[in-house]
Amino acid sequence: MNVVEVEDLRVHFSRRRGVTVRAVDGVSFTVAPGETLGLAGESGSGKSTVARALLRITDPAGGRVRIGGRDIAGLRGAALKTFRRQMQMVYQDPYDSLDPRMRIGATVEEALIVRGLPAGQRPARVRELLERVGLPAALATRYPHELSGGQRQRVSIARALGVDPAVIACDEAVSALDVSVRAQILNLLKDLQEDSGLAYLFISHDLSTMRFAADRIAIMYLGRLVEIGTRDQVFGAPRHPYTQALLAAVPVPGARRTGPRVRLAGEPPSPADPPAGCAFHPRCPLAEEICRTVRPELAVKRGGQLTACHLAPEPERDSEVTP
Amino acid sequence: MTAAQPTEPRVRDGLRRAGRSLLRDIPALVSVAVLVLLVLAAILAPLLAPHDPMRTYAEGLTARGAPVPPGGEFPLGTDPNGRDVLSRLLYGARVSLTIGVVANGLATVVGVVAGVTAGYFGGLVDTVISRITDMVMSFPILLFCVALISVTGPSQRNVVLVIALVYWTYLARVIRGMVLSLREREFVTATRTLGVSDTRIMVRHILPHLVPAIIVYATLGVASSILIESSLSFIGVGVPVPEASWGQMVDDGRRYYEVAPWLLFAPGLCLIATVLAFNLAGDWLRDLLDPTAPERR
Amino acid sequence: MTGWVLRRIGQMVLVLLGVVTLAFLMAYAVPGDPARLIAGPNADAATVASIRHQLGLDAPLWSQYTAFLGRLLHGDLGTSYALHGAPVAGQLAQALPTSALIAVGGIVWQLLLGVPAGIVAAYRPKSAADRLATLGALIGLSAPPFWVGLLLLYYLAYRFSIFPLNGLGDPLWWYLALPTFTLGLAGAAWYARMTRAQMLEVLRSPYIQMARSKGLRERTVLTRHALRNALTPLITMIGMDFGYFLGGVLIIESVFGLPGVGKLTYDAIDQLDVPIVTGAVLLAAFFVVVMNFLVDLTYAVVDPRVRNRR
Repeated sequence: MNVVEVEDLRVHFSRRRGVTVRAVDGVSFTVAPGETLGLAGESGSGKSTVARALLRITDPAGGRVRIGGRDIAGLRGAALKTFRRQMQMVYQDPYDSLDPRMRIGATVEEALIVRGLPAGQRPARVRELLERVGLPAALATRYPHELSGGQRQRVSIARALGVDPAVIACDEAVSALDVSVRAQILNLLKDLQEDSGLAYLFISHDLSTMRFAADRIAIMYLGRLVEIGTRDQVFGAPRHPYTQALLAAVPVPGARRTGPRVRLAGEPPSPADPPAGCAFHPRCPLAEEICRTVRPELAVKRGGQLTACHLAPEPERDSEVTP
Repeated sequence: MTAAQPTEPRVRDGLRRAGRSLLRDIPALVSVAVLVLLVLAAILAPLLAPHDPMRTYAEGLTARGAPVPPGGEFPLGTDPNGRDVLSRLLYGARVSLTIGVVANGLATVVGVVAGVTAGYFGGLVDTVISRITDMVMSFPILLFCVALISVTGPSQRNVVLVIALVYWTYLARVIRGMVLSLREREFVTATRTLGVSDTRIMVRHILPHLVPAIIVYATLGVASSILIESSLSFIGVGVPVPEASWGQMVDDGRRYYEVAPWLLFAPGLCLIATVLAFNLAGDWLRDLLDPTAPERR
Repeated sequence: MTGWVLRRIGQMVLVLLGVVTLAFLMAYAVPGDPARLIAGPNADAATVASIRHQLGLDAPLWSQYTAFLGRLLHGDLGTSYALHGAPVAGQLAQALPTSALIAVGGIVWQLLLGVPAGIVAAYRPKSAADRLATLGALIGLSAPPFWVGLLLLYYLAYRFSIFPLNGLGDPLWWYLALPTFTLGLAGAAWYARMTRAQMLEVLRSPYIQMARSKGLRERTVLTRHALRNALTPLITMIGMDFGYFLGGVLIIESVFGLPGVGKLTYDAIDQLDVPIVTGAVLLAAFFVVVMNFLVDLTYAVVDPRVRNRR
């Protein structure tokens, strides 16, 4: 059974004068235990909002989210707190995600307090958690400002692990780090996954990180998924022009370019006023008449991945499986 | 950075920094010294005062019934009731400091609780608290205090309550603003998604970040509270006679300035020195603890 | 814009209603018996009861409140207890011009003293001039106005007989010089601090550095570019100061013996004349709230971003 099941998730932000921004507009995906789903897209595509809605930091406007088999909509009070242990998040900014006035040990311990662990057992567990993320236990008495960016992200991970979650969302969790440190953190995440079957929702705009970290990849554009498939499907033979453009912009080792070279021009349109039809059509070099009027739905295309594009080649054989 | 060495406690670090900065800042050093002396004078008033501050001495009035000038038995002279001015000043320090500190302490507690609650929860709670502060702040402070006391009757307790009732709004507004931005910090979100309760987040994660601002505003607030108290006493709705209070002593002085100008100077100088010392100390703390703290009125 | 103004007016009415309610509760909480006060110490119980009835003091709280509101809408602030039933509104109206004059004078002083001090301090931060201005401002903020007023009276009026001792006379400005100066002093200190902070911020901003790098003369940079931007927020504070100063005149007028709202209130306090005190408080609060609204309105007209805030 999947640990995360998202069906038609919608998140709206209302601005003044009655303008509603559909930050997430009908997104569906699943994450299996022990799996890493990568969620990629430009800034403003709504990928962080998806994670925030899953964690109930932001309340969804519609759709269904099941974490660990449980529908999280409408959870309140104690039930909400219990749910929150199921899913945790590691945040982008290692300088702001730890309370600067709290010692590392106390920060990690807070997760244990939430779980109701008796005070006597906590110090040992804190040490254990710190060591599990590759930090010396002695760091427990330090303050965040005494730690490096990589060390802080390790603390964030330790804090998340403290409540024993089934899934962790990593929202640009390594983007702020140096390349060498980034690899260490990614390896740590992989090790933890192998040990305990954790699932990750890995959010990044950086495709080379994505290629390293994700088993499956979903590409978001203006609040909607435009392509979702295995890493090899998406990187090896991207079907959506937007994915192709993203890959063309960044050299990703091992990725094969297919079809005409697509270059991304201009800024993505405002999600407050998305274009009619396919939201990508104003920037798409291949756009035809149908793209301007009819919004393409996600469907299986050649190669096996789901792609929301009228022009993507249809599957050659019926036997190709959906991811 | 070696991992094994434990960190210095923050408090000790802070005190050392404070000490160093104090030595470089002469007005601040002087103000802290004045405050220390003042507190000592207030505590030791019964030992230091040469006379009973509330007693009318026969030799405290001249043959024509006027106050005795400074010198001799009464170092700072006597007041129109034949009471010793120096003794009254010392006891007046007690009254001013107590009222200033207690009233402001109350205001701080209420203001912090209201500000944190309004800022953290937002919505209806915030609207209600913010409107209440708007209303209270619409009244000119002194006039409002005077009006409140003129209906509740002057007493030390009422002066304290009235000052607190007015002043909590100022702190509440500042704190609310700070909490609004703290609430959006990632570490607060992270803690909330961990499943930590709102109360614990407010106490463990929000409050510690407010401490520098609270210290600064509380210090400046004592200065304002003492000014209000002395104004109330000057008008005659503050500390009731025969209890000594500096504001009321100035009021005595104003009635006799032709014959006894010292009655005007001694309590006035004490007042301005005290208020200035608190203001200077507050400014110094602002620079030391939280240079970004906004100005207040 | 219209929607914003309407919403803002709604807010203002709400605050005013709260202010009025607070004032009413305050007046009602008075421990003494106003009827007995009016009747005098020798009146019998029946007289006191009939006066109480006349004043509506025997009605339940709620109906007293609505009656109070109703009268207020007609500009009726009730009748004074002590001044033989004189209408409060009339008393206040009589006293207001004097207080308004003092308040305006105080505002002039605080601008005249405060703004230049702030500019000088900001122009060379940490210089001797800055330190002096900053310390001076702090002393101004710390000095009790009643004491400053008395000192001025003692030296300039009594000892050296330069200024008149008290009251009003001819020429008027001569009699108002000391009171308005005293009133403006604390405000000047405040304005000096605000001006300094604003100027420092503006001088640090990119567009000032741009103006300097264009080779403009320092004086042009200062007056044309910096000053205007730094002072705009200060000018808008003046409106509210007028309301707050109506509170400040309480002390000034009693020190200098001037027949304004402050003196009226000061005398009323002695006689437990609650309607006068309440009326004065309401008057001042009314000015603060309305001025606050006008300031916001000006801002909203000048700067459209304000409308979208809050």
